[in-house]
Amino acid sequence: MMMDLDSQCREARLAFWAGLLRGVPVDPLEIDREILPLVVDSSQRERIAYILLRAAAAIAQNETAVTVRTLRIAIIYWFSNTSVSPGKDREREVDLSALRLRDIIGLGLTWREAALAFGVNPRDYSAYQRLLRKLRTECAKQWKALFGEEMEQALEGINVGRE
Amino acid sequence: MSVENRNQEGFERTLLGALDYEITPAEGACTCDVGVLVASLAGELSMLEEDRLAAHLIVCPACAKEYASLERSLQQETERLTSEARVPSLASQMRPKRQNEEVAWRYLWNTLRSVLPRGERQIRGAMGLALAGLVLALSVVLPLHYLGGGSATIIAGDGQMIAKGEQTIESTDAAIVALTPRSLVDKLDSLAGYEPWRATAFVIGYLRAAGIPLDSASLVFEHQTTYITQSGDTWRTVAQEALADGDLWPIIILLNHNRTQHGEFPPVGTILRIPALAQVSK
Repeated sequence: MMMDLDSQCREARLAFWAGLLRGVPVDPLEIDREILPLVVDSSQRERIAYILLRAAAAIAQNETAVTVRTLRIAIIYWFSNTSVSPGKDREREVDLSALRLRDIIGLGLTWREAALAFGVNPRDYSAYQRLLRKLRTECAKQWKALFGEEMEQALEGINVGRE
Repeated sequence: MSVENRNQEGFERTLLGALDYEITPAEGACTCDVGVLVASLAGELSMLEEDRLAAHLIVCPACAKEYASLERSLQQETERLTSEARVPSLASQMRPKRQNEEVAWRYLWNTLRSVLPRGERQIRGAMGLALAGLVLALSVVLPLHYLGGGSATIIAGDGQMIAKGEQTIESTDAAIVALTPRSLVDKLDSLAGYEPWRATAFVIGYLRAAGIPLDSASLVFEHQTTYITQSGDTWRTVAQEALADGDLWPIIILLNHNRTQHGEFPPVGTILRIPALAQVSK
């Protein structure tokens, strides 16, 4: 039995995220080639995941080195805050500097802890907020270009985020 | 809170929800090649391949479990062999080891690759052979590290010596010399479920007890061939035919014990795996 199509898509996207985390240039067109045909007619969840990855790849490709570093810190921060169980995994010893996506999941790091993996000691969340704004703008632009509608409207009323 | 801030928070929630979705475990089994897992542990994958494997292990709990199990086995074997090795003398530490280490690891990987053909899903059996190969190689690597020389010799199919060092694998039951195909297969079956590397150690021990010391026997899985069974064949005749020595029949069984039940010789037309074997002396 093969993995279902959605799982294959998720696996392909995660491989790109792993590359972005390591600072490998990821061409958005390469993402298109591999994943786009599979997501056009799929669920909103798939679409969002795809657009998010593509927007992150575009930022990594077009922005300054400082922004790209902030993006990589953010990838650690985001993935460390997926699948977090209270009281679990915080004691797990992980070498963050190895930048392995799989090791990071569930660590529940703070922004500062994630930034320290790159030797950065942030004073506040301003860099993170700036990145979020850029990413949101890029996502909206790509959503409109690809699906022909406004992202905010498309997501309105759809429960795709966290409670 | 401003509208902009609310939108920003909403976007962050959507983003985290999307990433939660990305790491959801997949339904059902996969067709992953266990050889890729072994290759990763052996440091043989490119960074791109590592990324793909990492992604796969996130969504595939079965492979993640398999990978963790392989990783643990490797770690335990390394620790065991390390603890068995004697404390190195200053002189042995000063010998150049890097080259020997590299050829030993290359031997390890070639061994693993040959016993784990792409696409084969018989993970348990394959893993047994893989770990057996791993132990063989580690038993060369570690003595090379700690003893810096000795009597074991691993020789490639073309006769070129690729590693030399003292062999530390001990037989689990070296005293058994009256081995039969049935008792060997039963033994291998009983060993395969746990600590599969003991299967190889057991066969090595038998061969040593039978007067074929591993010190001078070279099992080279790298150039593996096949043999199609014919009418009148037995384990011994196949060993005679394929390895030029009927006494080496346990090696044929070691590589093919999943093709037989209770040691019975498989039917005519069965494809057996045959390792290339170089320089065996009694």
